[in-house]
Amino acid sequence: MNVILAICMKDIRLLLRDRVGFFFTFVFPLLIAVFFGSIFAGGGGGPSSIAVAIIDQDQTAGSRAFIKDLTDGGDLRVTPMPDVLAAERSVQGGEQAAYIVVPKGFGPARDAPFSGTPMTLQVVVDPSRKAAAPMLEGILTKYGFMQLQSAFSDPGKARTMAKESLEKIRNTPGMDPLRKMAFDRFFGNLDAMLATIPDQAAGGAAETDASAGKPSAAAPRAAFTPIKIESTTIVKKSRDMPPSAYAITFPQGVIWGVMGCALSFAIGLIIERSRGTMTRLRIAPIPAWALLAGKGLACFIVTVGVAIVLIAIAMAFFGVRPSDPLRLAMAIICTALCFVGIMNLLAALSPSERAASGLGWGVLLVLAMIGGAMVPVEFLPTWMAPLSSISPIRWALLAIEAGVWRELPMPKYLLSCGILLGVGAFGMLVGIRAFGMTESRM
Amino acid sequence: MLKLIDLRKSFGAVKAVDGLSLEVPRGSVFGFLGPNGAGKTTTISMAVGLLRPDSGSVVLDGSRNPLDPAARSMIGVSPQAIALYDELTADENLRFFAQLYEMSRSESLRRADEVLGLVGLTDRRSERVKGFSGGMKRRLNLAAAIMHGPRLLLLDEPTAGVDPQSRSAILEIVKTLREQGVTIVYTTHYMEEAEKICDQVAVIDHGKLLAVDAVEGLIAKHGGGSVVTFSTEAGEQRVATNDPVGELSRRLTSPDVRNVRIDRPDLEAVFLNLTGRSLRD
Ligand SMILES: Nc1ncnc2c1ncn2[C@@H]1O[C@H](COP(=O)(O)OP(=O)(O)O)[C@@H](O)[C@H]1O
Ligand SMILES: [Mg+2]
Repeated sequence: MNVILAICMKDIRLLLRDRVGFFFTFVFPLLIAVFFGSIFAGGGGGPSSIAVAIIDQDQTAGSRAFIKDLTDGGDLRVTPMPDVLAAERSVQGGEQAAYIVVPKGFGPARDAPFSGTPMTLQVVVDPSRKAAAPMLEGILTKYGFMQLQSAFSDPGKARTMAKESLEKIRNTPGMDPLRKMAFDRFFGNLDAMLATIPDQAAGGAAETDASAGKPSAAAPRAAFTPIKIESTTIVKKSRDMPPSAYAITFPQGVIWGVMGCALSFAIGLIIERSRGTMTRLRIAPIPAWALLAGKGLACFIVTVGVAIVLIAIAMAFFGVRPSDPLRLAMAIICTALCFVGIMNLLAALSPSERAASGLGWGVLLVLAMIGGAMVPVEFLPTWMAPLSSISPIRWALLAIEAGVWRELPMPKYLLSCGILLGVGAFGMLVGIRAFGMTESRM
Repeated sequence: MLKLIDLRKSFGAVKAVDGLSLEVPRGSVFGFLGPNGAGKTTTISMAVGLLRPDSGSVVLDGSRNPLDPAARSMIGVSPQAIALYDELTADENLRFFAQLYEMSRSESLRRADEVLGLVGLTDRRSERVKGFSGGMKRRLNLAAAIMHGPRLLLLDEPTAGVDPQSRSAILEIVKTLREQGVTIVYTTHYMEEAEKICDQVAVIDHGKLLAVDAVEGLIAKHGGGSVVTFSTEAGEQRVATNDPVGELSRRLTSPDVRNVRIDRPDLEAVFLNLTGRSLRD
């Protein structure tokens, strides 16, 4: 045990004296967290396309046509899901920002736009993505208008439809007189509208929704919306503030720190091999596992230290309040163990220092990218999102975020931690095996 | 103290060590002399359990196996390449290596004082190794090997790349250690060093043991004759002979001789006679 501690202390001391290593384990991650946090906190760059799940409970030609429009339109990244449960899980798991239910009756409402029953959509948003909700509503409204557009594309059909609707409206008892008047006016101007709708009305409506601007579109909208959006967040109890950008970027920063740490220690191990100090360690009367345990312990301690420092800074200066400290602590421990394994793996697979830093950064950067340590998984290109599950970094982030702000269901949290521990154990086993098999020579 | 029995080790097609057997007696300084690539380092690596021999065996201290960690605590090794942490101070390096042998803090402090004194680095003990000269690193490399007080010390080219001063310092350290009763295996390709400090020398080439004996014995058996050089008016005359004294008394009667030099055969000559090549190639 003393030997393990001695090796551990020595390695920590070496890391702290190595300026490059120190930079990549402590300073760089902090820069990442603060830099990207401040960019996103400024609200400058919103996501270009929001990932949503969609559930078609209506299953009519009309609902299918709407979903097709939505999918082909490119404003959203739409993933069809069989039921609400699956969709809810994917939102809670962070793969989707929201899910949309197309309820029964959507198709008929679509075919009779002025019947008084508007098309209805239920939108359920991840509480952490509340900022995306208005944008999502705007986009959905736009597609609601596009449904009208398709109904109007056959003028003959449109006329009859309009008349039928008008009859229905006039015969509806108890309807708001203001609304009735507006509809009269609306249908009076129908011909004019038909001319303008094809492009502008759709686009204009969406903008209006966001910025309440254009008078031309404002008139009919005051009285009439083709689509009703019932928006809720996923967890009813949640009254949390949407987390600041720092709540997202500091966990990412932790990941960068953890990666820098794993790499520094892997390179340290290889340097011991190439400089011959490993020879002394091997000649000493200690078993190989104790030697690796000392290294692993040092890597673990520094990793946890980096995480604690970053989280403390996030809390002290950037208003991040971990929602579940216990989960956070567990997540950090599992992440650290995972990366001790990755450190061993890297050291075992790299023949030289240069190979380690090349291979290491190469592999880690790819894993970081698909795992969401650069751009959150939700905003990754569609083709990349499924890949993210193969990156341990994705699970590390998910688990850490679960401690900081994300409402992650327990099974999914445990799965994340389990995957991290599994990867860690695998890496350590490979490391020990590789270490035992290589013969070293002075 | 150390017994090698028919050791063999190949790296691919290269037979680095090819059936080597020898015995290092307790308390002696035992030289491995051979040119670069002779197989000295490979032999030492097997002797301390870093490499597994393809065949043959190593016996430490009568009956112990270097693959057993406990048996290794009696060994100290100073590798051919400097094996120190550049970012740690001399003191920190030594104390870290001592900890690998479960030495207590106070014990390692005391021993570090002693060892630093022996290698003459006491006043540099708190400096980081990266600022040291080649000679200082060499001495510390040796110091690290003896921190835990090994009974068998293997020095692999301990004077490689050092200035003459550090070299003689290192040779003095080796002598001191022998006086303290440490058995030393001294690997080198400098025959002068082997001549100066080794009680016995094993001449090795291509992984094979060519001869082993005390320096005098090797020279007597394999050195060939002395060379007597007479300088005269007409120039130099070199005579190879096994009886330089007789040759001298015969020739000195001639009045022409102005100067005389006798070159005794040395280990260089031994190596030349054994292999047909020079040690320095
Ligand atoms: N790991 C290795 N792989 C391949 N060849 C090696 C290896 N180690 C040593 N050799 C070869 O074995 C021979 C003996 O090397 P070595 O024991 O280092 O000699 P010395 O220490 O006497 O200079 C050399 O020809 C060297 O090239
Ligand atoms: Mg060598």
